[in-house]
Amino acid sequence: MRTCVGYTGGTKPAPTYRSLGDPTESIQVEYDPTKITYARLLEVFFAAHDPTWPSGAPQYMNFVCVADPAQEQAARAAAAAVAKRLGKPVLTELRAATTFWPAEDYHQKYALRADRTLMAEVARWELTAAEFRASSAVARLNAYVAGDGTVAQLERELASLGLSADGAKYLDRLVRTFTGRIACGND
Amino acid sequence: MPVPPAPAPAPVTAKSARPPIDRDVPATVATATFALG
Repeated sequence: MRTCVGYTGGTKPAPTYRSLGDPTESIQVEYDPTKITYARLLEVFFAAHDPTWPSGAPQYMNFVCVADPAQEQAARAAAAAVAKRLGKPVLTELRAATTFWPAEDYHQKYALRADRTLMAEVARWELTAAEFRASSAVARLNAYVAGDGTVAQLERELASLGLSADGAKYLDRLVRTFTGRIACGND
Repeated sequence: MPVPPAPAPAPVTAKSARPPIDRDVPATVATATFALG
C-alpha cells in the first residue's frame, strides 16, 4: 500500500498549500486489491471523520472521489450502511474523481517526519523524495507514529519494514504506548 | 607476473538494504482517493 497526500476537486489547477484555491486536502491510496478491498478502505474513511456533519470550507471538505461505477456502487453502499448504523443522514458526498495533485514533499508522511529516530532509519535507505512518498514501509512507519496501528499488526510485519535492531525495538516500544485510534485491517 | 587478487565484493550498501516490503510489487494495483479535510 502506498499513500500520498495532496489536493483534489475544485477548479484551480496545480494547487499548492500556500495557493490552494478551491481544491480540497485529500489522500490517494494505492493498494493491492487481493490484500485489502475498496469496501474496507471506505470503512476506514467513514470511521476517520463524522459523516453527519456538513463539510466546511473547500480546503477541509469530506468526500469520496469515485473513479468508476464499481467504486460509486461501493461508496453508495458504504454511505448507506453508515447512515443506517448512525440513524442519521450521511452528508459526506460522492464526487467523480478528478485530477489529484500531490502535496509538497514536506507534507508527505508528516507524522513520521517529526520522529528523529525513525527518520534516521529511513535515511539509511537513501530514498529520493519520490521514493520516500511511494514507499510502503515509510507509509506504515508514518501510520504507527500517528498512533494508527496495532501491536499485532506490527508483530506480523516488523521484519518486512527494514529497520535495524535498535529501530525495531524503538518502534515496538512506541506502538505499545498507543491504543491505536483506527486499526487499518490486515494491510 | 603474479595475478592480482580478485577485488573484494562490494559492500552491501544502505541503498541495497531497502525494506523487504518495498521490494514486493503487486501484480495489480488499484487507486482510491478520499478528501478528508
